[in-house]
Amino acid sequence: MTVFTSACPRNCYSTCSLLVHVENGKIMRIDPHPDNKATREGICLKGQSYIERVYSKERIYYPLGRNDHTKEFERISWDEAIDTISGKLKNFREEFGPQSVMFITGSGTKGLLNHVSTAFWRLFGGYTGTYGDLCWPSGLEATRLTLGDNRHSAPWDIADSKLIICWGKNPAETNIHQTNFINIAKEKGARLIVIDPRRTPTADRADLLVQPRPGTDGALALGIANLIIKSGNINRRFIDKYVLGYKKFAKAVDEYTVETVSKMTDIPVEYIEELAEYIGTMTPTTICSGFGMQRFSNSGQTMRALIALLAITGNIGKKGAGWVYANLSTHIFDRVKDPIHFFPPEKEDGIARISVSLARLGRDMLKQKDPPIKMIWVERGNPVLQVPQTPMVLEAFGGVDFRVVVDHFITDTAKQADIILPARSLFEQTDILNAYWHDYIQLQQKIIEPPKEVKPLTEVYRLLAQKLGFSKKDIKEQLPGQDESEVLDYLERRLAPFPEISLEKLKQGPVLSPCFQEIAWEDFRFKTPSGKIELFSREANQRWGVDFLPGFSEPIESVKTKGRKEYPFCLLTPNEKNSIHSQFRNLKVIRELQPEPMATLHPLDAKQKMINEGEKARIYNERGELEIRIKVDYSIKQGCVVIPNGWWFNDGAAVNLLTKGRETDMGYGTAFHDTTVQVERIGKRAKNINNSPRRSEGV
Amino acid sequence: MQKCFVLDLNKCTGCESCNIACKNENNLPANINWRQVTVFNENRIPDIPVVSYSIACNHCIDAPCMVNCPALAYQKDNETGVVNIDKDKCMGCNYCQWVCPYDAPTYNESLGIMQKCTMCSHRKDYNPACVAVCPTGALKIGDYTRGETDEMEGRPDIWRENIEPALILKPLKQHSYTPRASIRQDEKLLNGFIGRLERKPNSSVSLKTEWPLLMFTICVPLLVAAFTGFTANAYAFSKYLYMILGIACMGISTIHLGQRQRFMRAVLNWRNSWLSKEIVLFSLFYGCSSLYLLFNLEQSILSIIICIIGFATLFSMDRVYHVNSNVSKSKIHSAFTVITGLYIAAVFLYHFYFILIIGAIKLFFYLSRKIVKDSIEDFLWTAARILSGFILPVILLINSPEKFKSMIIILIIIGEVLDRAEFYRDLEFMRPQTMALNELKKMLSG
Repeated sequence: MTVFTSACPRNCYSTCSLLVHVENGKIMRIDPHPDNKATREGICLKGQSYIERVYSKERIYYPLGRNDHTKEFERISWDEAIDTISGKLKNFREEFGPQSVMFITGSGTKGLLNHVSTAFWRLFGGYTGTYGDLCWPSGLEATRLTLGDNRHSAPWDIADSKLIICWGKNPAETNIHQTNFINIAKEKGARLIVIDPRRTPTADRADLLVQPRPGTDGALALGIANLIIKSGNINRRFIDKYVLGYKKFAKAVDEYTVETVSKMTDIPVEYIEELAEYIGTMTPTTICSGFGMQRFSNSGQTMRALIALLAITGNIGKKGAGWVYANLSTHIFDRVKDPIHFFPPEKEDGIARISVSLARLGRDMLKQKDPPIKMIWVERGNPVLQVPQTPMVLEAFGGVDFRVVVDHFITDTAKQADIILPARSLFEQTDILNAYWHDYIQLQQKIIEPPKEVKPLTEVYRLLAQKLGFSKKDIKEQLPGQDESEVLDYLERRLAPFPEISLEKLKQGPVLSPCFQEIAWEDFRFKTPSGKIELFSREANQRWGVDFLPGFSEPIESVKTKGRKEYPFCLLTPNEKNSIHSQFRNLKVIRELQPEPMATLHPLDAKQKMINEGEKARIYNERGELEIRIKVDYSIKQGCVVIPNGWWFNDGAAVNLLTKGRETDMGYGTAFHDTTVQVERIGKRAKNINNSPRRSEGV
Repeated sequence: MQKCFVLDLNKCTGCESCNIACKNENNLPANINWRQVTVFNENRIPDIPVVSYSIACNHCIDAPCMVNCPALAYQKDNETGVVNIDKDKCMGCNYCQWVCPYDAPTYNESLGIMQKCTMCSHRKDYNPACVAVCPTGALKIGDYTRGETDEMEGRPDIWRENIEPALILKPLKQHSYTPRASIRQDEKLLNGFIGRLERKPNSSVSLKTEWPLLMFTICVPLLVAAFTGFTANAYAFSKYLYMILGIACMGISTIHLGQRQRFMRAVLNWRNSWLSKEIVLFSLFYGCSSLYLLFNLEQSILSIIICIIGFATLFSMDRVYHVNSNVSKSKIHSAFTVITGLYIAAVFLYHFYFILIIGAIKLFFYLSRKIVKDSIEDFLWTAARILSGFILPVILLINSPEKFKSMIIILIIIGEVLDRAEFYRDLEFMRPQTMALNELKKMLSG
């Protein structure tokens, strides 16, 4: 067996380094790469399932076109596909201008070659694109406003913490390698606190689990801050030196008394006090925050409040302490880093029209005029499923003349296409990957040839460019095809500014980014306007219209919203271990473990709704409805329904049928969790709903 | 030396990467898993730990698969202690899957044999695929020393003393046991909830797949009873029908084998395996009784010996189901073949009180089972069983003893078939999931 170094390009914290074993041109085994200190222990089940994913019978191996009569997809030749697409592109460009073509991408795969796509569309003459992001911008923006930029200490630094707070993060499922460092810390006596409406597998190993009502974490943080300040457990020296706006902040949190906060968050007073005691007296403290919590319309302010807790207790810039949200130390190739990268340009450049908010994709697409959207090109994404308010996205997709989708499988988005093009897998083209948790730049190596008629996307763009008559020079410089030497040449040019990283080195294993900092901000140089940690931020107010200080307001749509009494349940749509959004859900090996979606409901809610474990229920609001089996479970707080996102239409749990296209308060993020629903049992009432135990042996 | 899996329960998050790595490495077909993760307290009942544990074959010291395999297809490697199946010896009877509480042996349909975890013996340095990919380092390979795993605090009780699995489970530590939660749960509701956890775990036997066994276990008591009848000259049953039925039984018993041509191997483990004993005794009984009938020997001592062999067959037939199942020694099931044999024999002998006594005993065990269970799930079924097996025969017997003899026999056999079907429906073998659920119930009631 030959062994190749590679890396996993999925949208995942861990971004594992891989050792891929190949025999007779077939991938046989995927092992962890020992040189990545963050992920060397092992590879998750999704990584293991690549062996099915790459060779799956259901994978798309040929271009598919929609038959005009039967409306079914049929295999077409590459010539036909390229002719049709380039013909359409020319027509639309001539008749309506290039901006009538919309280019949509998701987070389906990382890699520097993704830049080729944008280059193509710019060379084409322009396009309409999206701003904002589905995932993490409000947390990024809150961090940028407060700390200057997005980074955190090395993944293993958490092993030196005394107090670890997983606040809305469930690394046991979404960042499994982080649990290893948490375990080391615990072995050394650290405390683990989980703040989450759910008792997650992470919470199962915690000392303390605090379950707030979803969307009220900001109030909790401000209440804790108030208690810490009142008790004098602040780090005065740190504040004086490095924190801007402490006095104003201390005054502002005064109204967040423990009783008020207890009412707002639905957490007993003594637990809020205990949290304040922990955070106020234990150091070093690390707060790991996930992305789910910042998918509320109030979440930028929430995240600022969380960081404030670390600022007033001096838990930044020191070993074992800090804010672990996103580490962009490996994002060295981007001219503009996230979250600014997500912002719409202040002035249009006349080529790209970045006018569609991803959070409101459907609605904004329909709104485009001069020119309206005539054609959609989707790659690396599944917007029909993963963008809020699916019905509106479908309407927008249905309203255009021509749709091209590039993917591995016939996803729900691909089903809307006129032409589907096959996508290459991670083993079929070389690319360079960054990460957002650890600090390694990695090489994803070409290990096998693309099977059957699969062509890398770069080659597709090259063919289209030739057909459309782009200049030879542009093609040569910006659009490498599928030839490996061209790709390597392209990547080498991107690596040129960083002599410490070379393709040769990357072939051996992961390489630490030149921006790597073992302990983030140990120099206490914050890239904020004041150079300090800004609790008080002018930019926050000017750019986003929020208060200068971190604050709390109810999410726009919550169980407390007036006029929404009919929808008394908060819908949470977290990620889980078996998928990355809608990816991997269709694979057989994964299906065996989890054959169908389940919505989780607290036993008291289930009792009130007269639903028994395993029965189907209708979950709905004014935007849509789902029929889904119910898991009655103590893991979730009362008043919430949990349905993991990413299930396909056919599975019956496409959660974005229920969500609304709504932006977060800052960063142009997406407020998926600003969603309330009603739950109702389907069919006749069961005869025996009372919760008295069944008479049986042993109970 | 005994190699073993070592699982640190503090670290296992139940990610199931091990499961898929194993499938990849060993090329397992769909729905066949050599390694599975069980979650204890999956519904997250407060103040009770949630424990995920990944279990494959534990290569037990006294491996029940090896002890009970009728074909002697299992060996324990002298050097490593790994329990292996010889693919050339296994006849694919599935019995090892029944008797293994860890659900380790699996049936490979295309090969017609059983397969299970080999600890990836084909890989070097004791580095099985599951261990190599475990993202938290929870799963390792270690050396097992006997008697090391006696402390049970903080880990699921999946230890079985009589078989001694070579598995080291590192128990939950105090700081990882279970979180203090800010939500207090309603005690009353909690109690109600536990009752509803009575879900039947996946059972590896069902009536659908086991119908040949159902027929076999009805026909053999019938034959034993018939022979008993013959010896007492009580009932005329065609000798030839008897012999055909016997041959049919032999045929039926091999239907479910994956490797039918290896059926002769079934007797090899006659010392230890009840399954082998059953086959040996049945062959002996059938051979002797056929010869006896063919040559009209009419020797009472010989016939008694053959009858005893017959009932010994039935006894071992019942014992086959005792290993690792919910059929316990203390609880007598009304469909035990020994009782069935006696009941039918009583009819063949046509001894009025004998019929009544055995019938009453059977009815008692049947009803007591129904009453202990929370409800009579299928009323029609139960009614049919009681009517055809007890009430109608007794009515006929009292009214007109001689006239309805054949009809009584047929009715009783129908009743027995229904009862035996229930036996297979209720039969459940111990699995990690069952053990987890039982332990949870124990924890909650205690």
